[in-house]
Amino acid sequence: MAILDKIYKRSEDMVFRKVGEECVLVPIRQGAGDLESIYTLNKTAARIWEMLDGTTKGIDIRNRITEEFDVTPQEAEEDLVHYLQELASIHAIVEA
Amino acid sequence: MQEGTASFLEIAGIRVSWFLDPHADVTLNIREEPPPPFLKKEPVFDSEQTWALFRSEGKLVLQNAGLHTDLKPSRFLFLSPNLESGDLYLGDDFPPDVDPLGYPLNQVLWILLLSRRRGLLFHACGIDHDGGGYLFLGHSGDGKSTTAKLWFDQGMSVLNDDRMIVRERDGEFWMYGTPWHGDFKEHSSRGLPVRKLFFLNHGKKNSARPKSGAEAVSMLLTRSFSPFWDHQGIAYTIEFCRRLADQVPCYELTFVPEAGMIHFVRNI
Repeated sequence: MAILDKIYKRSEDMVFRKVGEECVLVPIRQGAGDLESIYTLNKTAARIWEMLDGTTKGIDIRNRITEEFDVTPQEAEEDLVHYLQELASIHAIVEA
Repeated sequence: MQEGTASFLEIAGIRVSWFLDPHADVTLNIREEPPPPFLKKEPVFDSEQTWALFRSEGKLVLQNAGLHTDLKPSRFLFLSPNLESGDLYLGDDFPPDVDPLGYPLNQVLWILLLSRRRGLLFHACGIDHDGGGYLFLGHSGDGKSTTAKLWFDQGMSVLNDDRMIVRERDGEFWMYGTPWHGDFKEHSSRGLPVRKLFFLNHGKKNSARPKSGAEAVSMLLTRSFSPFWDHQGIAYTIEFCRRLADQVPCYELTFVPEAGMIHFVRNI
């Protein structure tokens, strides 16, 4: 299944907070590991993060990004796919 | 340090003792005996070296060794869920002349207590600048002890060169020295309002760049001792850092380890 056909939700092991228009993500950990792993999301990524609610398909998120930001559908899709892959790689999101 | 009144009642060879301290946030009983057997251990956080936290039968237990190291823990601190009371068990081989609440139990206990909406422990050096606090945050090797010595040599008081606690008091952020110092031994438990906050870096010239928003919050978090195992604790900690960065001017400070740094910082 293409990534935009999937529905993602935010991981319960990721604590987040909006700071202005950006967002800070902090993973919950049970071991020392890499305590430097704290993530900041820019305005676009923070808006995508808000929409990863476990009910909205990737393609619908892309459409909303196109409406809300001054970007073409292709640019929105490229950004969205990039962010989804990044967020999945740090286990910040899981498939719903 | 002792404040309060210790009393006991002994009847027919049975003794009940108590210690009254109206100001205590936490009351601990020291038990010179091994802990009761653990029926179950639910890991909470494992530092992999010097300490570990786990849950056992409703209590939070802190021990002075990782869960999977060869080191045998000799101290076990059992804490009630509200962290207001606890029992500290000392193993058979625990030396009598050593502080039972010494490192790492003391620092982790304070991290736990601060996470309950009390504040945050930072990797930081604190300087008294004419009654206001300058807080210099940094990782190991970023120049905290060097900064402490430079300011001390110019007659300023150093609250601590390695571990500082920040708390919110009546809408203002205050910084407090701790006993846990680095290479620079002078320290004080005094509190001062935080006037400026700096993220330290060594460099070839003195320079300062303002930091704010999510970037400042992230820089604060990576230089803090945050309760990374606890959803509520970390949510509070992020919000604490957001308010701190919002209220106190923050700068990334690249500095040359010479007295000129002091004049430069004063003029930021």
